[in-house]
Amino acid sequence: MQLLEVRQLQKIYRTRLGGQQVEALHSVSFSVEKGEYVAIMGESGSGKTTLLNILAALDKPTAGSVRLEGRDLSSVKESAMTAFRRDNLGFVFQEFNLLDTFTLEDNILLPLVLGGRSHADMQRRLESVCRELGLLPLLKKYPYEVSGGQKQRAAVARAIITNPAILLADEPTGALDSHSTDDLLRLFGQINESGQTILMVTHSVKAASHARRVLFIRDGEVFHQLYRGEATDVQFYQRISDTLTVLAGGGTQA
Amino acid sequence: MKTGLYFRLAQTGIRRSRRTYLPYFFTCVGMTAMFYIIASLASSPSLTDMAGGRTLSSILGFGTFVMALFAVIFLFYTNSFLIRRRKKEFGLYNILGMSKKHIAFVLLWETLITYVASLTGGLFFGILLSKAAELCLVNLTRGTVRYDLSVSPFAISMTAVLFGAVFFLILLSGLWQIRLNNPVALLRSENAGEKPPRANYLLGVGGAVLLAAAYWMAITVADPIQAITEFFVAVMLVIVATFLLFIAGSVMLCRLLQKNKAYYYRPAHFVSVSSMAFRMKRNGAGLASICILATMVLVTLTGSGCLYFGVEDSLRTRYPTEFVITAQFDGTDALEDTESISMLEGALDRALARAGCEAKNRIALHRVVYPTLSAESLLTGQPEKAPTEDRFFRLHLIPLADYAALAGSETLSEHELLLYSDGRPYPADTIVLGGETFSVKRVLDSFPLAEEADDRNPIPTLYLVVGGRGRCGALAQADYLERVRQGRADPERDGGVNGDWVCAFDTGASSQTQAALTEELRESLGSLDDAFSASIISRAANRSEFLTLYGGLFFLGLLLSIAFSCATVLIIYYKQLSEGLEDQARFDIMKKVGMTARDIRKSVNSQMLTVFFLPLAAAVLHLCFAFPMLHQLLQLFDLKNLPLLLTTAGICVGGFALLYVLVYRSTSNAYFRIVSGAKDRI
Ligand SMILES: Nc1ncnc2c1ncn2[C@@H]1O[C@H](COP(=O)(O)OP(=O)(O)OP(=O)(O)O)[C@@H](O)[C@H]1O
Ligand SMILES: [Mg+2]
Repeated sequence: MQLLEVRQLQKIYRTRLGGQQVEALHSVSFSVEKGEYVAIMGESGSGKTTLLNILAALDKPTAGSVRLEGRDLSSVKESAMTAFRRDNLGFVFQEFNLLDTFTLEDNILLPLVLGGRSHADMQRRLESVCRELGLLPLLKKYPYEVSGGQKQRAAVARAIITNPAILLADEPTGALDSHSTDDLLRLFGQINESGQTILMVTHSVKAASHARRVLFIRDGEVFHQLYRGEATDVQFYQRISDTLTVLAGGGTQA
Repeated sequence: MKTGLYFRLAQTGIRRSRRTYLPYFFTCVGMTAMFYIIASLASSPSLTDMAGGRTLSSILGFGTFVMALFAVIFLFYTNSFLIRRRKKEFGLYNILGMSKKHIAFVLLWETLITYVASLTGGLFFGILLSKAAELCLVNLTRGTVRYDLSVSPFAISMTAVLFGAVFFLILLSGLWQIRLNNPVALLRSENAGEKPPRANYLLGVGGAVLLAAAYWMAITVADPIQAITEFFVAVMLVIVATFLLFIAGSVMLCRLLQKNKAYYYRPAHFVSVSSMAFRMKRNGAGLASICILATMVLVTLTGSGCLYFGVEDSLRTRYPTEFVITAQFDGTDALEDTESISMLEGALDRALARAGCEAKNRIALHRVVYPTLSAESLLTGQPEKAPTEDRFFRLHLIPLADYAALAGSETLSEHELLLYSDGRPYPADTIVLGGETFSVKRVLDSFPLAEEADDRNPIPTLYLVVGGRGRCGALAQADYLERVRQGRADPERDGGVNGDWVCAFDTGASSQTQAALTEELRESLGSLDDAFSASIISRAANRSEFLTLYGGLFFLGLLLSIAFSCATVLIIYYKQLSEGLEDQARFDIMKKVGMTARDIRKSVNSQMLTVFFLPLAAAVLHLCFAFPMLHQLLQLFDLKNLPLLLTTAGICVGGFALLYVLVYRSTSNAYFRIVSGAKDRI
């Protein structure tokens, strides 16, 4: 069984004054297996964030369905949705979205606290996650006291501390310099190795080249996809950027 | 047209932050209106024409002063909320290339707009409501109403000048803030949390010590004079202590709660405790201001309300009998002038007959009265020291026969006397009068007609019962001379020794009859010869004066309480609003991470319940400790009715608590709406 199954998603935004409609997604279908590391690429405005928001159940599709572990997201009741999202999905945002009122530790624990876990349980998970992410010395600091890369690492820790079925990331490297970007991508690779499914939206070829598979979105559809296969990062990088060139040139589906 | 641009920028600035600006504007209007009302009443001719109108004017004049002071402090305070939020906008202008000078122009326009608008609005409502306020005042003081709407140009100009000055100061402080601005720091000014003050522990201890000192002062206060002198010191101490304790307490509470993992890491507490910790100092200071304003409302309302509703009590205390007639003779020989006395009694009977009433509980006595300066030793029986720190005392010598006629038979030997000193114990057993030493046979615990002191100043008085009338007179003269020789008395200035005949009685008649009787008495006593001067004190005749005074005070108390309550409400509102706006972005994030609306509700409630009722509780505690002082202060107004004080306080606390809960509910709903509705931005 597929972990995530997306079928013919359509999303139409209606502007507030009724008149204009924007079709952000036309018909998007793809699936993700357990343990995969998928990157989604596309031009600005191609609907990547929209797609991710629908996958995260933060937004509703106009048509089509999303199934996570065989369960249709639209069948989850509104009231149970937040808890469902908290327990099954992890998020990493471009702008970190850490709370400046909390230390990094408390930021990371937030989903567990909201889930009503016991304190001992929280501590155990915190330990293991933060050791893996090298966050242990930073736990007592506040967000304004650490660098962007460190903030993003904390955000990743917060996303995976609930053991989510899938980790969704929207431009996770967007606000980072190249050094921190490398760090973060290495980290993603590492947690994927340990079995975490990752779905990442990105502009950056470099980021995409770390994934196992890259989906290209254009005109509201999945236009093309690339598998890494046995290619190295550098080779994969080359193939992705070639594809992008073709896409930009308005080429037809390969 | 640069001016036009600044004006427009100022206008849009105000419009854009209307959610914070509107309450501020209403405050300005309210303060202006309230000030105008008091100022116009203070100078209103229809009031000065009333009985006791002069007292009323001076009470209201005092009110004008308090109101002005309060307006200055309070407008500054609320404006600081605005400035804090506007700083970001100004920082942005600055970065976009607007120089600080230009920003200053925008600020100038803004202040000008606010000033003109709030003055116009304030005067409009002030003039409209001043008649209602006057009717209310006249009604409270049971005066007569005049139905004409008057506008006081004097009060208008006073209001314009005062608020002009206030807004000018506010502008200056705003300009100062801009000068200090570092735009980049401003743009992200809200990100770092407050650090706990370094000596938090010391702050707390300091606050506790000050509060203990203030409370100690309040509960140990022994007499009204001490209460007056210590009241303002105690108030200052309480204010400072409240701030220190709330700030230190809030910091400490946050730390304790955060340390208690089992409490802290619960969905309902996690968010609320951390955001409290994030702004712990500001939170503490805000709560302290709320507490102090609440205390001000409670104390003002309790004191003035109790006074007003206890007016009959005060009258009874001040004038225990309905009528007191005092005939003052020059010198002491007249004590044995039975002819004059019977003439007086005759005149009294005639007046009673003409007014158609009967004297009940009629008592009369002779006494010799003379003043002296002395150290406290006069009341302790210690030998009197050199007259350095002397204060005024009065000595009453009463012939034994007169005393015995009223209080039952008593015998005294040549050098014995009975002593009464306002109910206090007298520590020695001898007293020296005119060079002779008397032994105190007994210290009395009450004395007839002692309460009917004929002036308001509570001058300590010693009542001494000695032998016959002649002996009384001679002794007084001798003692007085001795005191003149010591420099403790001066016949030129203090009036010397007088012989009095005092008669007091009740009638039980209606107040009209009593008024008629007063007139009759005045007439028939006035027609008597000049061997003495007679004065009449009538409870009924003083009632209207009391009502004017106490009604005026109550009116002022009400007005000030309204002002203080509005201020409390506004501060609560601002606190919730500014915190809500700050927390909005955080709750947005938390919703993404998995916080439900129910979690938010719970968290908001938890935060409110943890801290919100503390100020009210503290205010009630302050009020409780203020009781002994209030009680003493009210005694200056002859009010000794403790149950009434307690009842009034209970009612005030109840009413205010109700208001507080209502405000709490509506503002916490507003807070909830702000933090849960992400679109709801300013
Ligand atoms: N709330 C909305 N209302 C109306 N239109 C929207 C809304 N959100 C997005 N759109 C439109 O939908 C399209 C897709 O937007 P989306 O944010 O998904 O793009 P994106 O691929 O994430 O772009 P970027 O790479 O710049 O982040 C855009 O044309 C955008 O204008
Ligand atoms: Mg996007």
